[in-house]
Amino acid sequence: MNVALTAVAVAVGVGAIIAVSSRDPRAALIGLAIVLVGATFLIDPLPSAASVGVRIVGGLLCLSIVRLAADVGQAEGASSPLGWPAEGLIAIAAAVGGAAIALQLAVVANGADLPASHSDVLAAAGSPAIVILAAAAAVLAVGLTPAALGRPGFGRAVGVALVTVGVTLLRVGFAGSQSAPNDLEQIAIAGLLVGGAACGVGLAHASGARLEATADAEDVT
Amino acid sequence: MTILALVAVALGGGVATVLVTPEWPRAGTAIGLVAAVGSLAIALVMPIDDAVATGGTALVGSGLLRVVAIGWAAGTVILGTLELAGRRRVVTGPALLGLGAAMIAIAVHDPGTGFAALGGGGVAAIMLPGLAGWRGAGGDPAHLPTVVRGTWATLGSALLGIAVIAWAASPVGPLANGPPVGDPELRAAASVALLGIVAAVAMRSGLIPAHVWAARFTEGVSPLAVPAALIWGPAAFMLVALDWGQVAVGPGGVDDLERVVIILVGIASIVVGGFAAMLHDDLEHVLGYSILQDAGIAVLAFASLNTDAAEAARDWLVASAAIKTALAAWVSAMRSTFGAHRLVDLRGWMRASPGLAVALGIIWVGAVGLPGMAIWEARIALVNATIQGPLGLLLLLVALTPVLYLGRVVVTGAGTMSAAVTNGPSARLRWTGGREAGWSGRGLSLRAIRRALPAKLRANRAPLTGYAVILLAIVGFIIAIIGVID
Repeated sequence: MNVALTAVAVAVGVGAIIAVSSRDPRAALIGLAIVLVGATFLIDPLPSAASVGVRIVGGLLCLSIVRLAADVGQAEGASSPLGWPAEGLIAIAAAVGGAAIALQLAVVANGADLPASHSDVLAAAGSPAIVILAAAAAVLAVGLTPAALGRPGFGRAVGVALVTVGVTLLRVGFAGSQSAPNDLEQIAIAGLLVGGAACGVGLAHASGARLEATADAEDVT
Repeated sequence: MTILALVAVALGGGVATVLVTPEWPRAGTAIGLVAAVGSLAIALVMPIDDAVATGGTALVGSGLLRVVAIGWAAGTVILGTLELAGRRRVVTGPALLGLGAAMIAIAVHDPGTGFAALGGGGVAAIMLPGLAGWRGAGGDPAHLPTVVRGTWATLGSALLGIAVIAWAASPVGPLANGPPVGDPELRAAASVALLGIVAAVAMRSGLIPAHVWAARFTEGVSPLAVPAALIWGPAAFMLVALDWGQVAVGPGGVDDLERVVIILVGIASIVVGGFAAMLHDDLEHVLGYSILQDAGIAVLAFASLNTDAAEAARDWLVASAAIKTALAAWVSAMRSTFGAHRLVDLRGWMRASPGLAVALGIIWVGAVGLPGMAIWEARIALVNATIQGPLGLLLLLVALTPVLYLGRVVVTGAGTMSAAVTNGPSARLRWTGGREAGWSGRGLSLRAIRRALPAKLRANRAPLTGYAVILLAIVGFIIAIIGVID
């Protein structure tokens, strides 16, 4: 098991929990930055330096776009109603599930028959896909709720960014090192992140304007 | 290299247009139009055997890539020009972004890259016109959820597509294990993957049962923005998905269950789209539901995935997209010319605007097709590849409802002129009083021409709009005849 990869995966998971549960938008942005930058390195083998650069720049651009949604509405963070302990437990549970699936995939990839023997499982336990899929599942688990059901505004924009990152991690984890994303795909993923962030922010501003208009109408009546 | 040049011009021009237009609308409009014309010029000279290695992979040209590029770029040029008559500027920027992303997606032959590019480049085509339409309607609260759903559908379909193809490439997926023939577990995996991809296609194209956002989207936006959002964008998505389906699942991997599900989705979209287009009274809904019907015909290719059906689907997608782009321009021209969009208010429009009548005639023939035309043969091939016998014949007849819903528009146009049509602008070119704008006693006065030209253009807006729509209809008609030529 690659220790550095595991540390990055843990950092990405923690970043996702901070991003969705913090009441302070600045803390949420720091959490999101950890996720966006960390996800760049959750791949084995590491892509070219140029490709890493594109992903980091894309992630930071995505972050600066999401930041535009921080002044919409009540300027609170994503502020999950569950709180960070519950979000943490959800992320851990999802990570365990993702790791288990990845372990089974690694066993099959090694040519073993299912159900796998103890030795087959041990032989597959070093696969880097395990930590990548675990991180993907954790990020998706904590990001899906604010993306789909969160209040319009900052929280939903953060959720959309997390779900996008989670799906790209699924892509890396499922495909394995044999078909890791090439440089062009990394650029396309960066474009997808920026596009997702832009649409989250655009809709956050529109929803914020709509809520203000509704509140003004209620005041008048 | 021309593929890369096209991608650079389209994406660069699109980003610049989207960023510049809010602050400097004239500069943004100019950038968008110049980039659209540049994209069209590159598309016209692009060889079909062009290939360039970049980013660890290769962008490979094809007849399909070229015809999509020509159709989409030509549409963007003309739609962007027609948009000059209005106040909003939401056509060229998103269309160029979508075009650049589609070029990457179709040329790269890697669905992961393709879906990511289409997701990132496609959301602007839904969100920007949608929000502009929402603000233009005074913040109509009923319209914003449609924009939100549309944006999520575009982004969500790309994410679902990426997830499905990643899983299919995993050690238990169909792609990693060859054609799933004989092995029941692999067949089940292929079935799940195929249904997942078709679900993504249905979300992106607004197929039934995911049609609500797409049907309502056309209500609140400029018809000029519809092609990039609902015609070419979904067509590119479906082309990438079809490419993947042929490789990962193949004709032998389609089981009865998913075949039935896909056929039901296709039939429902064809029937509902066709009949809704016939029953609705406003042109925007006719346009929206006709697009839904076209997508329903194309999705039938996923029920067989054999080479003939896939080739027919490619012909169908580009031909119907080109024709429906012209129909969108025609709907916009009708609105801007007569200030009305309901058929009851547009009685007698053909008498008042012969140019638009000619354009609709070309669109009508192009949308229905004639034996020997690519669009006609593709429709028949797609239906026959999935359903044979009397039911197939019945479905083919339903798929020919453009005869009726466009015919109804033609019949309405031949009737007595309504008040809106009577009070509409003249369809004849008027260049009288042009002397002061041209040669003066002291020679050519550019200043006078510059001062008079906008007024002349405004005075002749209706006939010029008609000619632009005729031009786009001819482009669509030609593509409907030839389809994809490799």
